[in-house]
Amino acid sequence: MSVSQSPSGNYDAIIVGGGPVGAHVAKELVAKNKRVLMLEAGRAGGLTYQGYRSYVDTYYTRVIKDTNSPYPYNPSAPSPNDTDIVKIVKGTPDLIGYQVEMGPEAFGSTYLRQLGGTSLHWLGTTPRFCPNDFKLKTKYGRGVDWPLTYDELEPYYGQAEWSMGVSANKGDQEMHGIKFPRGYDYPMERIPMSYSDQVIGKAVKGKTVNFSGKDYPVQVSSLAQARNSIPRKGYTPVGAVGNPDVGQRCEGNGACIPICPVQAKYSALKTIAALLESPYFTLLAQAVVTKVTLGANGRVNGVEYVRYETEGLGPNATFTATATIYVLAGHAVENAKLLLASNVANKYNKEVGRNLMDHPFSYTWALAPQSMGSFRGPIQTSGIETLRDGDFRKDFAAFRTDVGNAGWDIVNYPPNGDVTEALGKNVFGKKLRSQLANTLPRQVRIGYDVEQLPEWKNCVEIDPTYKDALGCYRPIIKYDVSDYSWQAMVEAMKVSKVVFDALGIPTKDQHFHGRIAGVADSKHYTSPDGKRHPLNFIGAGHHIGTHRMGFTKSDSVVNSDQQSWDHDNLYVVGCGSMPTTGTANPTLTAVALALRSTKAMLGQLR
Amino acid sequence: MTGFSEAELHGTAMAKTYFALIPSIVGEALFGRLLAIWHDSWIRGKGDEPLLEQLVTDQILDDPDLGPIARNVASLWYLGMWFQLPAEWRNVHGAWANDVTFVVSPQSYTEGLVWKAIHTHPPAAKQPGYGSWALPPVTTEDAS
Ligand SMILES: Cc1cc2nc3c(=O)[nH]c(=O)nc-3n(C[C@H](O)[C@H](O)[C@H](O)COP(=O)(O)OP(=O)(O)OC[C@H]3O[C@@H](n4cnc5c(N)ncnc54)[C@H](O)[C@@H]3O)c2cc1C
Ligand code: SF4
Repeated sequence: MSVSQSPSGNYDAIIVGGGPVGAHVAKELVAKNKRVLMLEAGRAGGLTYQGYRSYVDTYYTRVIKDTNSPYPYNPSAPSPNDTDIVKIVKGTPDLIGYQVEMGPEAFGSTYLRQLGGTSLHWLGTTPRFCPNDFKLKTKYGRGVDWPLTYDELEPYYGQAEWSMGVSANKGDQEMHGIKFPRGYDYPMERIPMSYSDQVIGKAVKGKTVNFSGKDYPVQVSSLAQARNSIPRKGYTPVGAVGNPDVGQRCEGNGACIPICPVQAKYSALKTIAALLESPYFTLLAQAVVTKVTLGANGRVNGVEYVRYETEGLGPNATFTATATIYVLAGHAVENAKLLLASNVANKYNKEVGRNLMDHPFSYTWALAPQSMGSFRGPIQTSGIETLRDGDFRKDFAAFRTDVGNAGWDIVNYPPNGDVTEALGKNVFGKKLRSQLANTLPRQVRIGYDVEQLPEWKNCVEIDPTYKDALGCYRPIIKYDVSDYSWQAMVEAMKVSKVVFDALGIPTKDQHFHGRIAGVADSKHYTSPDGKRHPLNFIGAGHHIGTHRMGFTKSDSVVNSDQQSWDHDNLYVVGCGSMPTTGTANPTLTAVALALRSTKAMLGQLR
Repeated sequence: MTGFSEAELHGTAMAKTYFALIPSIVGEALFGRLLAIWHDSWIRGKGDEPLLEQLVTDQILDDPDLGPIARNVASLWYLGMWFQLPAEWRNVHGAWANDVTFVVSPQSYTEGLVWKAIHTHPPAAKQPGYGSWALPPVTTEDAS
């Protein structure tokens, strides 16, 4: 194990960023005895069990329990926070926080710069992409195709699922052409579906929605999830870092976002902690990479980084590190920022930072007539996956449907609001207790992760006007959502209507629109119940497409190996390489792509 | 006041903390008055729920000085949180340095009664165990 101060010597590879993607590149290279230096901008506080537990205690005491609330604020490597997101007034950038938002829509997604990356606060949902997601253009005339097919990526999906520890049953996942090799199954059994999933599943049995003239089943099924359950043969669950007996099973803590207290949920800390056993692996935390430098031959010859001692205070020092190959795994936004700041990977086109996408997340909620047993178990255990593909994609976007287990979670952050509202109305004592008992467990929330198409105008940019405390660029975000996705939100509400009606929920208790703090009402409407409800959405945390892969050096930043077209010893990995979003939460696919790319890297390192 | 028994409140081990905390935020005088009136209502309304409720509403909840504090006492028990007192209250009683919205301690969060009231556990603590979420929920009838 080595967490060294100033690494010396020659490395085979330098990896920028210790999130799940960088960790998996490191794992494969180190397994082949390649010397790897990982430079991580954040602190490595989660590597000790006590350090991680201090995050849990911090979470307990935070008034606003948003995605980054458990983790210490770090002005030397800032991250965007939920609370920074405000309504964008035309012509006036939103300067609050780290990210500069130019609009026209608020980009409401966060990430985390701390060892382990955004996987510290991710939910852990890990579906595969559908085969048609890789050929959207050919199949539906929309977006672009990937320079890669499902079949080519398939073996790496399996490898990623076993490495991250995904719980699922193969049979549940086989739809839309998603296939598994004979004899394959996930490393752990599926996470039990929640009681409310079961109730909804039963209620909607046989129900359909009609999209573009065709009926599609509304069917609830179990989600693949990177959290520990009962292992299948040949697999040993990985528990908490520094205390492996803890977290052997998901215990239903219901706090997967923003922190799993027992580490039953996968985070990159697990992969990195194992790597630290190897003499081939060196980790340097509190090291913010600021620049990729080029030699006269156009190949990368080093990375510059600033090392800070104390967050926001210094002392800081600048260093250069060198290796044979360089892998940027700092997250879609940070990768783009780093390429732009270094003025590299832009010889053949101006694609760097472009085509920023997310899954705009739109939601509905209702109060069921009976207890749904809400607020128990992981935040999500099931989805309605049947609308992730279909001929309607010629007309509007596909979507994944999240069936929540945490009541009206993102709607009004229960139960604080419910308690204070009741107290405000002088509801006290036994009445208060029974009012809460009789309403909160009946809360249902259904949300939609909507596919988004690549558009050049949606992007990450930099400008010397906007820098952080360390003097690094703050990302500038320009973001809009096209009618293709808006129309999907309109149609998706029909699914909620089917579910709510099937549960026997009176119309007055069905809700299709709420005001989202910081998000303006759009001019788009839906009317599944005959009334007009303005639509809006929040971010899903799925930053995709800022350094996309493509077929030729003119249409993209990297090739299908995530290797820069311009600089053959530079790889840019992660969700930023994905040409389109599909509907699947992207991390499993990003890890599979990274594993695949290590073949090319190893070829170069031979 | 909370709808939970004395034993349940003791079970949280938070009573002492809150008893010291509240006067440190709003001062001994107001807190003393609140306790005295509460005690008086309690004795007069003993065994008669509707009367007790009436007394508490009239003497405490509808009182502009005591009502907001009483609400905050309840949110301490339910959520482990103190909410900054309303502007109207602060206009009359001045600003108290400790009167800010905060979570009292990690324990105050995990011991919040609201989770018990809705038959679950605080997110990230007191985990109920693998697969428990797949079982039918406890309902109020079963629980009482
Ligand atoms: C609330 C939320 C929920 C989510 N849920 C899911 C889900 O259920 N399923 C799913 O698939 N995805 C989910 N995601 C997305 C998922 O977290 C990301 O896709 C994933 O973490 C990306 O991995 P990464 O390694 O590329 O980047 P990150 O995990 O962001 O890691 C990047 C690392 O690089 C470091 N770094 C950044 N800049 C520099 C620099 N200049 N120098 C050195 N180091 C640097 C960072 O500190 C960080 O450690 C969610 C995201 C959010 C916000
Ligand atoms: S439900 Fe709890 S134990 Fe399970 S993964 Fe989420 S936070 Fe961890």
